[in-house]
Amino acid sequence: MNVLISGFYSGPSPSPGLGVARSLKAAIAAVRITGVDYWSGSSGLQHEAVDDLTVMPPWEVLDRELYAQFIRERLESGSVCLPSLDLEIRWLADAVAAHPLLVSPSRQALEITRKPASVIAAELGLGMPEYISCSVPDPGLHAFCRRHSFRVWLKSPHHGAALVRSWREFVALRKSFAAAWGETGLFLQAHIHGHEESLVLIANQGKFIDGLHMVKRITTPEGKTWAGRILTLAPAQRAALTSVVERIEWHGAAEIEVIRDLDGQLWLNEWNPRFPAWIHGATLCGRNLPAALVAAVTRTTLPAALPQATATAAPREFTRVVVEIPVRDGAPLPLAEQPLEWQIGAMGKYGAGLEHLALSLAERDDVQAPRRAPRISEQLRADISSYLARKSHGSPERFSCHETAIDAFRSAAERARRASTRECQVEIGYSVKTSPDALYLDLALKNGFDAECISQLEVNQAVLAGFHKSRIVLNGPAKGWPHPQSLRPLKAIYADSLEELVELVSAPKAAATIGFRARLPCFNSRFGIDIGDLPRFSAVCATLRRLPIGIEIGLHHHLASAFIGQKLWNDAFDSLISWAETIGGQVGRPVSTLDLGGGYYPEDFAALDLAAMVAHARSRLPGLKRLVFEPGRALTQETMAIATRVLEVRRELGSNTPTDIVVDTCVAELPLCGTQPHRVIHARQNGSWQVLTHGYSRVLGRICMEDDILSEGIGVADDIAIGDRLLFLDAGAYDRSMAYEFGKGGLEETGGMDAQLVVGVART
Amino acid sequence: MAKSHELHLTRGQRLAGPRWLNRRYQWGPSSWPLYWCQAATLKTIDCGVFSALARESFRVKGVNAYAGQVIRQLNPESVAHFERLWSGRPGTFGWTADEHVYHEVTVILVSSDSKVDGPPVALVYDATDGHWIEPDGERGYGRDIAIRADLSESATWGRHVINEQWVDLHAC
Repeated sequence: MNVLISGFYSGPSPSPGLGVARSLKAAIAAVRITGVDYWSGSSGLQHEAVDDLTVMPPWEVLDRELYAQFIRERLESGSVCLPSLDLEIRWLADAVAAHPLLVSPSRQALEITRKPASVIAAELGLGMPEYISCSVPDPGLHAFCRRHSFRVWLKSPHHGAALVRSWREFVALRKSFAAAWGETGLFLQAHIHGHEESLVLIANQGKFIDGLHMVKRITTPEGKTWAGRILTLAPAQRAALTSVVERIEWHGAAEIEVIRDLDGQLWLNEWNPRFPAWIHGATLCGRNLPAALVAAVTRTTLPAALPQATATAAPREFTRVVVEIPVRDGAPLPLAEQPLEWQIGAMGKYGAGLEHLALSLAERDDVQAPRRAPRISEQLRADISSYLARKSHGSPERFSCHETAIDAFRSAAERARRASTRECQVEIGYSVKTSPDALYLDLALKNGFDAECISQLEVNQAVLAGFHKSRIVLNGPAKGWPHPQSLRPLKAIYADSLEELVELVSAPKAAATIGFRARLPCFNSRFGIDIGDLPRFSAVCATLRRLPIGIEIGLHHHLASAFIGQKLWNDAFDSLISWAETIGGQVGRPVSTLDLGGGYYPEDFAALDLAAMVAHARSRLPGLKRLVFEPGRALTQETMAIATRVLEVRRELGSNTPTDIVVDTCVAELPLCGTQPHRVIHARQNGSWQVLTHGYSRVLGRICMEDDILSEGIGVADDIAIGDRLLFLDAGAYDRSMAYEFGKGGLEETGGMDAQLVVGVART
Repeated sequence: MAKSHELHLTRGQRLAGPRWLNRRYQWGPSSWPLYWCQAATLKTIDCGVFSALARESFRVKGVNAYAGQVIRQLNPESVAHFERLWSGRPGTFGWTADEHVYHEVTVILVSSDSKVDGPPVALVYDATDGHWIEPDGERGYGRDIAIRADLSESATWGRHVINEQWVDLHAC
């Protein structure tokens, strides 16, 4: 029996070919294995299990028609062909007609099981981790990342997965994935916290033959199996797999990677159309699936003496070891490339050129939904139209979106009012540092918000804006800067350290509420008192016990939900309630104010169920009188935009496609351009404008900094021209307050940036 | 161009091979004759162009570089693919035979390692694959069985003496 097996790379992330070959050799004495790979450095070819080896050219120069003919000839001569590489299997499904001895699935079956394979998850009774197509506009992708606390995976449908931990990381990974594997079908999938397991099945033309269950014991740092435990499929799993295999007429092997979360729920990670690389480990445990599969497709019977049936004496665990083997005579390894300057130990990279195959397959099955432009609200649309209708414009120019701002502040006030109860008020503290412009202070004042300040300069600003001292909250590590606090009593002061708390408790009438900023255990922050340090926590409680009668206790917590994600933020809120309960018990007086910062994305703040939070907090803190939110970012991020003029359009040689757009603003004026998406509008000189999708044109800033790249990819129309404007929305909040002077040559008249803000104030 | 790439990839070490070539160009058929101005704009070039560009890259660093040719062993399966890739292309010529192919490399001469007068020492760089060829390499797939170089005088390469005549690398 001749069996042709491909995929013999045996580096740290090995292909399955060698494991399959070893398993066949273990069970079928007469088998002759031909090992095929596309790189002579695939060391599995050197193993004694391989009788003959064939090195094919890498995929970038492989003639696919000739190779398909080669496979067909082997099949016609009675050889079994057992491909082991995902992309190769996908190519074979189109290139070679179905044949009983071609042990790989059909195109239809591959489509159904293609990542993310949500239909399959349901049929197998597995949970499906939440996922989102990368064709969704960037704000939607950012929201998905936030919702999952930036623990998400970027995946391509056939190959490749990478953990995403920040927006900047996502943008870079999306670009590299698109270059390596194509943009088709890219998606983000929520990370599931749990143990990795695998289900393996073999099927012959839709008939389930056998399967097993593997629990990973040890993995490599990349997550590849190093050791595992082999289990029998549960009856329900077996039945579900049998049913799916029959429905989709699966032919060949499959590995279904699953994750068992800590509550025991199984989630589908992905369905791979081949054996796993560790499959010989299962054979060593008495479960030789490759041999059973080959026996089925060739209609032969395995010798009973060989370890096909479950052996009671067989081990249930396997592990890998590193073993050196001699290189065959006549099959030398490739010579090492001369290392590049930065290359250390990179000489073992798989050289099969699979990325070329991936890109050509992606072109063929381009099923990507058309990119959609992000949505903008009616208020914002009105603000933009109003701005563009002005008779003159500066450039670059940050302009206020008044209608949007008015609506944001009014809506927050209304929500707070509706969520308040007789026992517990929901209050809004406007974080002055987010955007200290008069427009916002005025809106905050009129809507009944407090002013949350971190310095005496901000206190002064709040007073000038009309805030009474009883509506000012003081926070942060430098409250007395640049001069000691004189205005008192304020509404509330939160100490940033134990030392400061001791001082505050002894100071006469500093505020109606005295408290501290809590640094919760396991949350990394430079701010607040570490209440996980129990001696320090005891000292905090002892200090609060000395608070004069009439002064209430407050507890402040601040983690930017935009960075840590809403789920983690919610968990932190719950944890804070527990600490407040404990403090109340230790001090003998209740925590009457919980002050929750902050850094909410507008839509995340809008999604908070304030009334439910009040009810939840009050159910455990009956003495709670105030639940304070600080939605500075949520209120102002969407309420400013930067208009910038196109200075230059660089295009692909020989085509009209814009590659780089140079504009007259820069990263100094849009400091968060790399850390969060900004919606972008292209406003033509003829007055028409449109919201842009994600695309491949970069927007480069005007200054001489390498990182002055305002967008790594927008989809501008070919007709973009010098003098057109790009409007970067979502440029309020920290994009405003953290903007800095750079590259203006010391001149004031670079545009209307400052003048416009004055105009905005005057109009308010 | 070459100097900029060299600075980036090899910090300009004098005897470093021009690795930038096989990062910038893909290997494949070229139509001959080929002019320098054409080579600069191509994305795919054959081993002859790789070798020519490598020679110039070495020469601008003051290294004596010459054209060299090897007979390389592959296998019939791979050779069949390469023949397909080249077939019908104008301006190309046959360079394959069964499981062997003709391949162009670059030979550089470094100063003689002999304390007395002797032939210069040669090193052989394969710009297509970005590696240095060993004079005492194994037999088999991807390895060379014979070499010649466009040298006006002989040079030593390991235990071999190479010149314009083909040298059997595995002759006893």
